[in-house]
Amino acid sequence: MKSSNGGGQNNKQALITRARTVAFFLGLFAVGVFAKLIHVQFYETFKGKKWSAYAEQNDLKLDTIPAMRGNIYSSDGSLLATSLPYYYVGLDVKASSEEYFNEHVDDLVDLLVRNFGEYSAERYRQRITSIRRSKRSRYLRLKSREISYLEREKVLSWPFFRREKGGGGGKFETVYRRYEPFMPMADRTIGGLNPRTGKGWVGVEASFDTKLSGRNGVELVERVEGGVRIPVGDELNIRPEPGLDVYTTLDMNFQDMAESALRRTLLQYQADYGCVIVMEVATGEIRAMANLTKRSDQDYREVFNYALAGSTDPGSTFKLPTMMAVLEETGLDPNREWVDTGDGLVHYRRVKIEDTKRGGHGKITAREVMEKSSNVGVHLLMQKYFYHQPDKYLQYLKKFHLTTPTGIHMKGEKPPLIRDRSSKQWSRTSLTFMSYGYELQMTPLQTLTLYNAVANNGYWVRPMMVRQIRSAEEVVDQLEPYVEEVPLCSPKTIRNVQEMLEGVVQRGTARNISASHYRIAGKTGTAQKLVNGQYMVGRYSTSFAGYFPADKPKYSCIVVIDSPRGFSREQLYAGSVAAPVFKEIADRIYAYDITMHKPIHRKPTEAAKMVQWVGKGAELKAISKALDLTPLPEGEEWVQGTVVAAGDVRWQARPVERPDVPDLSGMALRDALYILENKGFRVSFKGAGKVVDQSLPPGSKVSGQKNILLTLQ
Amino acid sequence: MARNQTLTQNLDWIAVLIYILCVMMGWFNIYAAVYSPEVPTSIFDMAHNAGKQLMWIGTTILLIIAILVIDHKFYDTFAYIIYGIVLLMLVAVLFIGADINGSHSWIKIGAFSIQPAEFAKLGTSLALAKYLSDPTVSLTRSWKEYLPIAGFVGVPSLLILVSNETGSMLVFAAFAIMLYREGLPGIIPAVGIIMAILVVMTLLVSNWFIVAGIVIIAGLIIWFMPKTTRRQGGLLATLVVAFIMMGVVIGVDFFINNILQKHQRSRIMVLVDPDSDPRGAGWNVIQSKIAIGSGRLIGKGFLEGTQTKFDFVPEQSTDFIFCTVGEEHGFIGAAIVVVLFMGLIARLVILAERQRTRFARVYGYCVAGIMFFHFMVNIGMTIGLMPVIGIPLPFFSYGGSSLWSFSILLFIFLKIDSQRPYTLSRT
Repeated sequence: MKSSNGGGQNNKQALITRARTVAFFLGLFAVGVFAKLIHVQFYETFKGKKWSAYAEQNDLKLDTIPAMRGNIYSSDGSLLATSLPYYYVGLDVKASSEEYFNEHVDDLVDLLVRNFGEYSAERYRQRITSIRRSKRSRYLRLKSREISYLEREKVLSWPFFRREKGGGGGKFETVYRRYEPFMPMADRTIGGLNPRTGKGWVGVEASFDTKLSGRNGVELVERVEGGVRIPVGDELNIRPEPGLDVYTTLDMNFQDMAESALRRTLLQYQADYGCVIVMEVATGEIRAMANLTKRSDQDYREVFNYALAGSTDPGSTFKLPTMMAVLEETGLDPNREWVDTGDGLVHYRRVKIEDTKRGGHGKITAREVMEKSSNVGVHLLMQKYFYHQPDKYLQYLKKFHLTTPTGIHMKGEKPPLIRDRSSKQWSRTSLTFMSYGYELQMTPLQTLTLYNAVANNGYWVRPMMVRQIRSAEEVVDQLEPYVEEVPLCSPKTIRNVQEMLEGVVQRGTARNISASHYRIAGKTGTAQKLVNGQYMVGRYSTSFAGYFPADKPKYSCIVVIDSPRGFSREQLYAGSVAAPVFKEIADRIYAYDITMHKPIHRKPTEAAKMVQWVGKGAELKAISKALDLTPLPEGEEWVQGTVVAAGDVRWQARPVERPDVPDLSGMALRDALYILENKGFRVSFKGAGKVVDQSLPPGSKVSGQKNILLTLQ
Repeated sequence: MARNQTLTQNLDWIAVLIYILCVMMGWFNIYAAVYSPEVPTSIFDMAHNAGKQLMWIGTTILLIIAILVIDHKFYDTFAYIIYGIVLLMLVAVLFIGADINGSHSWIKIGAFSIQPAEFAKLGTSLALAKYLSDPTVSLTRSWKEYLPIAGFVGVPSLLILVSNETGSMLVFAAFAIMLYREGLPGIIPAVGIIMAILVVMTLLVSNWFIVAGIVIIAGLIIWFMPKTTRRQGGLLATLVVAFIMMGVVIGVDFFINNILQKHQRSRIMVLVDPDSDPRGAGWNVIQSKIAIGSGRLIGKGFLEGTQTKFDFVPEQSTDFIFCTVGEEHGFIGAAIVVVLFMGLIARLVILAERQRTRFARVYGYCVAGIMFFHFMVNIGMTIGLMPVIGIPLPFFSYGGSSLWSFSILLFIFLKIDSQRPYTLSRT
């Protein structure tokens, strides 16, 4: 036999030696493993304890300490979302002594059946006792769902949970649940948490998730008898950083007004969905954002944020930018520019353009085109000034901020869709359709932002939802309003379109909502719904965008009602659906926000001027005594004094007990506040000193919201 | 040579029996490792590792049948082609690899991921066996004969190193056992082992003791050396070796203490002394030893382990599966596993020695060496005998790629072995 590697007896012997050497080393290693195993399992120690004893008694583990999520507040300080602790109730079945266990297990089972009732008494007892006997486990969750803090207080008095000799074993595992006190108001705007990740899902919760969530900590815990985890003091621990609080611009009173008005109308017309945004003109702060979607005939819920992401053809509300572009481009006087709309029907490149009013509007001015919302009129104006230069019109839309998202600090804003000439879908009639709000997509918020800029005399304001990020009381981040320095168009154009928007309400398509004591400016919009690329006859999206009070705009607002039912086409176009919602919200906000009210100019009466002191009888008595004045009448709670001559004061009772508005003139703010707030008024004031004027005259009767503005001097 | 034979004829039943025992015990231990007493799941639950492992076992059986069906000469004939395919996979993984558990070494095919590094061992073993089966190749003749071997081993190990699987790369050291058997001068593995020991000792003991130790041993060797040897350069050789060793000791010491950052130093220290950082890098080893140590003689019983249930030990069902054995079945269970593995490896060595072709013998030694290396490092690390190097325990650890590759490796050898009576001897 010839060996491949050299051959020969020696070589063969050498190979055998090599095989044996390998075998020897393998054997040696096996012996080493056995030796080490024996050492580890029977002799080795850690921290002076045998491994087995160590494993049985305690052990170290890194635990995550979840950070508390920050709260979300409204601008009026209401809590919109917070994390509340909830508890899982469990029992370490083996923690109690034999004696205690046998004595109290029946009580516990009885309490479990009566309070939780998930199982029968026998089943509870069987589960508890079987675990107490088993070798494997010792912990049992007593209720599958978590309990609240108040329920926990109750459970604390149960056997095994209260502190008693031989007892113990009751455990609570804390979990945090998100709670929205105003639920379901503004639910989609506030947002919620993803149940799986605990991260913000939509709305403010998602948009500001990094601020809200904080940072989880880590602690080293020692697991001792019964699964209890005791933190081990150690430099390894990282304390959790609680999340920051987010202060939104929402006002829950506004939100309530917006939502209830919207809901009522949606129910009445069985519409598919509706949306309302209320925004403060000067700052862009959003006071209310309501989105209601139809779930059933009686049920409308916050399901989708249409305000941010519900892009649709805006319809006639888009005539505003068209008119602004025409006026800015030509500088024409809208009262002198005549347009012949004829019988309300024209054809342009095989497209039929028609007005809602049968028979048409005839020859009208450019202002009336807007007020009557004439499609033909808009088309004719556009044909005259822009059809030969479409890019110019598109440039204006860009200048009016309509081609880009508003940039609000909220996740999920859908960008507007405005095509330009490079687009495949662009046709020679695109400009016609765009001029009155078709072939383009805007969200309600984007439309509103333009109306807000008009209200703000042409200065564009970015909408904002969050004002402050705070850590407890400390303001970490203050978000400032963004107002553009250059107006969108000339003051003349702004003045003209402001007049037109007022005219829409005074004389035009929305005259049904003209208000008496303050004025509304705005524009109705009705768009046929685009479904699967087809404009549907009979399905409309109606809207009203505007601002109030028209002379000194404080708030802008848009109302969108999608697919209302049971209405004739004329009525729809006449702004009968969305505009009244706007009016109702505006009325209620106007009544609520008295800073908007015009002061009633009354000269303070001579008598009021002469009044020197008004106050609590007891206090004035002390003063008059010290100054040696005429003594006060006895027993009057509120007293006023008029100086007749030096040292001679005529004291009079000033009764305030009656339920109507009391006379507050001459009072210090402290006293006036005391009296008014006891009567349930919401008090605003300006100035300092004594009350010289009050917005509600003395003796007037007030019901409902009791708001009063005091002027001090 | 057409023969009427069944698939299993002449199969070595001792090896097969040990194999079946290991796979079944592995499966039960994976179940125990992922079992939670609060949410008991079935061992067949496909959502958990145990159920998935059962699926892997099923597919492995199909693979084994395929191997037994294929003619044994296939592996000899196609050795280089298989090696080439494995190399291609290793290159491919660098570009299309998916990141799983921090290493970029998985190829995703649909819902499954395979790890080409696991199959590189097979390809390299076949290529080496094929190369050494050439009767003109002799390992004792010239160092040039080693160049192709270095290439066969070096290329895949470099590729594996690049894809960040250091543990799998170290496995290639296992071929040293086969090479030694085939005639590699003993001095080379000896020096390798001595160097490794020296480096480890440098970390544990003050280097002045080691230097003193080397001086004393060198002195004794020279003292007892026959005069003739001493004159023929023995003295010089001993002194050179001693100085090199001292240089290594001082160099390693200097490198660790003066060049490495503190945290890098602690990472290395923990390899040899987990107690130096019990809550950091030493965590795995200490938790693993607590689990094994708490099993004592007979263990806590099947599914009764506590250390494993509370996830104290990381990688419980893969690299640290031996902990579960130690905790739930105690010293007896652990010893049975060790005996089974040693038995399998010894059986493989015996089978390799009785092969008639050099191809079969070399391949057999490769298989035995790889099994031994995995067994040594894996069990060694869980009981604190070896540094923590993440490689699986053959047949026990959860994972499809590892079960497949070890089964293929083993059954190809058993298939070749079963054909031994019909093979003409060339040795």
